[in-house]
Amino acid sequence: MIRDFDLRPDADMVLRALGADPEVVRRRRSSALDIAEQAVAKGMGLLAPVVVSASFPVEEFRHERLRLEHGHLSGPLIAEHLHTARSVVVAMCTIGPALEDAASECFSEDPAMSLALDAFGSVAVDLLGTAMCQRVDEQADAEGLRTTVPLSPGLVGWPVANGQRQIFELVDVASAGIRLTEGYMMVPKKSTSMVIGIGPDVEHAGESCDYCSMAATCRYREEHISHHG
Amino acid sequence: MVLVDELREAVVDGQAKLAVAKVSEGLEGGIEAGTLLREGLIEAMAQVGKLYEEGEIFVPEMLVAARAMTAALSVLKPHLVEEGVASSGKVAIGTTQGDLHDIGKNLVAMMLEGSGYEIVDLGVDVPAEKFIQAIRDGANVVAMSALLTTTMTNMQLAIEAIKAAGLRDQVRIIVGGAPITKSYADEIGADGYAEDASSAVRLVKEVLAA
Repeated sequence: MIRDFDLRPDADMVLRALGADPEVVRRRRSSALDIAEQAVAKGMGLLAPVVVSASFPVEEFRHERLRLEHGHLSGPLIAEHLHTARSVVVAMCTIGPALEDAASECFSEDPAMSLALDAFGSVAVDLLGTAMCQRVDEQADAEGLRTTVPLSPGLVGWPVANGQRQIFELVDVASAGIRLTEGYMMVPKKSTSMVIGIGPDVEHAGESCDYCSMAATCRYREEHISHHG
Repeated sequence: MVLVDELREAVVDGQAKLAVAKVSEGLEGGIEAGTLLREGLIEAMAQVGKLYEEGEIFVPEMLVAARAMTAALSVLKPHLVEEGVASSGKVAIGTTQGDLHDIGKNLVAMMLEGSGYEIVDLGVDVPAEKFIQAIRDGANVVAMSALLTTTMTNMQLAIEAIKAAGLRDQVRIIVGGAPITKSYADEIGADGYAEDASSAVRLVKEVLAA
């Protein structure tokens, strides 16, 4: 379990996550900027970033199924990206429940702040994923190995239900306070799960966003700070 | 009416205290609560929705306006009841079974309330039975939200349950949420799909007029 992450979401990131253009907001001296800045000030103290990760040697790849020491990963997306991986890092990232609780609690009194806090949380968990990916990349690089793009359940070719089941079988995340609902939703909501393939011959093809079912309509894609690279 | 114009402006600008003051002033001055609602608050929120859709304001500003509207509406509500002003419709809204996301649903509920609709907020993780009961209790519109591909399928189950209960003809059903598309809404037999809170308000008006 890794906790030493220094996340620094800023007001511009929050504004982008809210679908607003920071430049336009600043030019207009819009109240949205104050709200985003207040959300950053309030949200920083509510972040409790934790990543639970584990590395698994690949034992066998067969028929779109990657057999690992304590489980398996399977599906077309897994086959496409991980078929040459020697090992796989599985990571679950969360910023904890405090921020989303605060966002829900303040909705009735201050809906704009509620939404800004929610956006702050989305940015923070995205930054956490990015930071984790960087650590995996640096470790692999030091060993002369390469990494794949991070793959998350829900991307095209790896349905949420299959992916989350497989990941939760591999990593025990109860101690980090993460659980999966019957609808395969992670709680706390501001959590993300991913796998990264490692090996001398794996390809870092494209971005995770390229494999997202909402790629065509996602309005955050261009501006999005993410670990998807 | 200058005061109604000022009320509208206060809401659009998100000035909650001023909006409340203008409503109180209007009531004391003998303006009917229904007039303040229709020409002040509802018209203001229509302007806000238009500004949002035209890219002139962003979601946070829309919410600041909605907060001002809600504050003014709370003062107005008892007077609307006294005058017997009917709501534009009754909307039962909830996040579909298995899904715990509430922000988007809350946002839609707030915009609808500001546009003159009575809201029955069923919360999150709402089973079909709760939507059915809300229809039996008089909801004209059911609005369902889902943020996950795994839970959006429960929208279809809810619609089928509403049909099985013999209530489909009594209600308009609209859906929304990140993974939802117009074609998915058509596929599951919903009456409409809204991509954001502002278009949800327009959609409810359209489906009720149809």
